[in-house]
Amino acid sequence: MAYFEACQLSFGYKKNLVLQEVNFSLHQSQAVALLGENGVGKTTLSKLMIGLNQPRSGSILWKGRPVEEVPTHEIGRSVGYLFQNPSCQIFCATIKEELLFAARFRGNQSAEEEKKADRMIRRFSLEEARDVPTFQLSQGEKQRLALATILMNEPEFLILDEPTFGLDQERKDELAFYLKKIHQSGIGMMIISHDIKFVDSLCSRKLTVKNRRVYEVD
Amino acid sequence: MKSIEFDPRTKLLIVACLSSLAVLVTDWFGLLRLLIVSIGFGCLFGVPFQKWIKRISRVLVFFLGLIVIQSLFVRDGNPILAIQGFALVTDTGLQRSLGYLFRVLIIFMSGMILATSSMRDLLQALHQLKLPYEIGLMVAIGVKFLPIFMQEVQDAFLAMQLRGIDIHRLPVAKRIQIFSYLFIPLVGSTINKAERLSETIESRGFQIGIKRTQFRKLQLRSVDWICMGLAPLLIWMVQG
Repeated sequence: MAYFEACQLSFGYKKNLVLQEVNFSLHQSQAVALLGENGVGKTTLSKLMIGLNQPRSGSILWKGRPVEEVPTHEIGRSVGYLFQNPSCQIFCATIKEELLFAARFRGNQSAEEEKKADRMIRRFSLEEARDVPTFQLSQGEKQRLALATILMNEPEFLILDEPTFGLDQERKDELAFYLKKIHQSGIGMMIISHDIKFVDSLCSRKLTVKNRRVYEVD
Repeated sequence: MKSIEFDPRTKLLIVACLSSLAVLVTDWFGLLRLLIVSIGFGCLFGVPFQKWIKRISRVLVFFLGLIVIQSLFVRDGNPILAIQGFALVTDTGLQRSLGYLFRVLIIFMSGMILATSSMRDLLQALHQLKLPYEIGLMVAIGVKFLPIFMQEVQDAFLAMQLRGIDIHRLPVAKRIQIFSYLFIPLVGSTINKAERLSETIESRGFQIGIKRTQFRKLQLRSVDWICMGLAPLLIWMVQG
């Protein structure tokens, strides 16, 4: 069974149709790139995939269930979503607190979770920024912290919206390295990006949004 | 039917009168008269009534709830509704609640009257009324950024749920606590935006505006003077 499956999916804002009769399927272990020009509906499609937007017609299935019927928090436990602007998903003043945020409110903060947070700090090279207030972190550090917090949930699949936005080449290479390691650990991902070179090194499959439809790129 | 184009200064004066009177008038009948007058001005200025009703309907339940609470807690006056000798609603409580509802509707209508002019025109009007340009610009920027701010609140709220937290099932104390966490991303992004915006404004020579001539200046026409002349009449009508 496909992890995500779009069937004749259409979406629009008032009279403006953004996506029309879109069909595709993604498997859990795949690393897929979603390409396309600015404003063609890539982010809209990714938000449809996690039920944040409601389709005008057709449906999108997550593990065989229509996403609009699944509560956001339930999808969030299995699918990690990295926003284009990671600042909007960082809520705490320190890195450690941020990593333990979800565990705290889900009532499962434990010594094990604390150890996991420490491992994440090391894994994403955030040791030096440990005591820096999160709003003072650089874009690359925020990106890594947001990714680390998502991984604290042990997701099965990641949706990354423009993860290279605002990063220089060195930071992009660094991010590609982390993402490759994440994928090797069995986590699937869909990367929304303009950066073909970046996705080339990570994704075995490429999709593009063009003229309101999704096409496979050879 | 195409409505007459009024100068934003006329609208500002009428809105100032309406909203000041909405605060000063305390009896419900006076407020009802003021509401009728404000609807009349709304028609004159071309307020889209469908939008007004749509906006009110979004918050009406909240206000109706407040009205019910208010009428239940005011104990003065003669009872209208009583259960076993205990007065639930009194005539004074009901009148105060109605006054409160009319006041809210007048304020909404005042906002809608101002919204019939573009932000650029309102800014120009404030400038021509000799209000310091910096203040006018700040107000304009604040209004323009409101939808972006709302979108960010929504994104942050969704990001919390995407962490696997079922906010609706949290105990009340934890729910209040989790909402306080929205402040960090919001304050952070607002400071960043303000910083970038101030740099942009400076780089485009903000203070030069004082020496600049303006291509478009607002002109008061006879319809504006007639309309402004209605303001004292309006005060007399409501107060009298």
